Amino acid sequence: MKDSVQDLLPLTEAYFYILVALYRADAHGYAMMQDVEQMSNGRVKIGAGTLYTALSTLQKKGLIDFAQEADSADSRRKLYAITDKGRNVLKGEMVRLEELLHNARLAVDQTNEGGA
Amino acid sequence: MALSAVDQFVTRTRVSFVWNYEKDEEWLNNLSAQGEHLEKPGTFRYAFKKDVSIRYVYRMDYQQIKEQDQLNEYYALFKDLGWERVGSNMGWHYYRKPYMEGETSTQIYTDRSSLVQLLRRVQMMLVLLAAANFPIIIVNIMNVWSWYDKSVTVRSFISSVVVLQVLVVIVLLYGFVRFQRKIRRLD
Repeated sequence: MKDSVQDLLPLTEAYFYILVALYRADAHGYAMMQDVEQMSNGRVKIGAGTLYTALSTLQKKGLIDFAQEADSADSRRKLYAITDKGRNVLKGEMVRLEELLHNARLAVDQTNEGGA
Repeated sequence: MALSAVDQFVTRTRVSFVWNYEKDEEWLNNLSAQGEHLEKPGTFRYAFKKDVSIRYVYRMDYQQIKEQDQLNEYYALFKDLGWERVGSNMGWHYYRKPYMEGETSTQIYTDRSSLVQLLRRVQMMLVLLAAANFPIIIVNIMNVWSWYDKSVTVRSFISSVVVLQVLVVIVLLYGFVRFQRKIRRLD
């Protein structure tokens, strides 16, 4: 729980997309998996083992937690929510990715100009 | 040919080492394609139900979850994603879902980091089992040395136990190395 935001970066694609999905709204496992597949146009398909590993790891690190459910018809099926720490980590990762992308674009564009 | 209304069961024996778990999965999938579907996993004995009208995809996961609440959550998540739990044996959980022609995403581990975590969990179990054997081996060896007064039968019995235990530890450590290789291949 004491890891700082920077210590938790970079995130794997699965972790990243789970945080993105939960940033919008609390969700069950199945909804998250569907959401991630849609966002990535079918590129990122999270299997059950990977999803369970990701959820339990993210929860252990305090980035997500169980949400309070209005109707707990099936209490075994858990609803997940992002925490404040999770939001901060996601934003930290966005800054990191933007820096990477910015520098890569700069290099590629400059080289293209030189070549043309 | 008259079809029997009673479900037909078969039991199969298979001796396999943990580092071949992918092959065990393949074995279950091949049998299911032939109409024999795992109903109850075991260490060496597996029970199957015969039904040619259906075919499943089988997957195995390794998780040591002791708390019942956590275990229920774990099962519920798999169920939520369409996996029916067939049974569990020694930390290995067997899941299946109906086979669909052309479905490409049937793996339960879909990224490197979670797959490495799975392999490490199995590795850790092998090391712990090997480590648990060490003190017993030492005690037995000391007994063989110190029991001059005991009969030859007792001492040779203990000696063979020690030999057996050493073999077990060697197999466990070999398993550790095999899993290390699997992990390295993923890096």
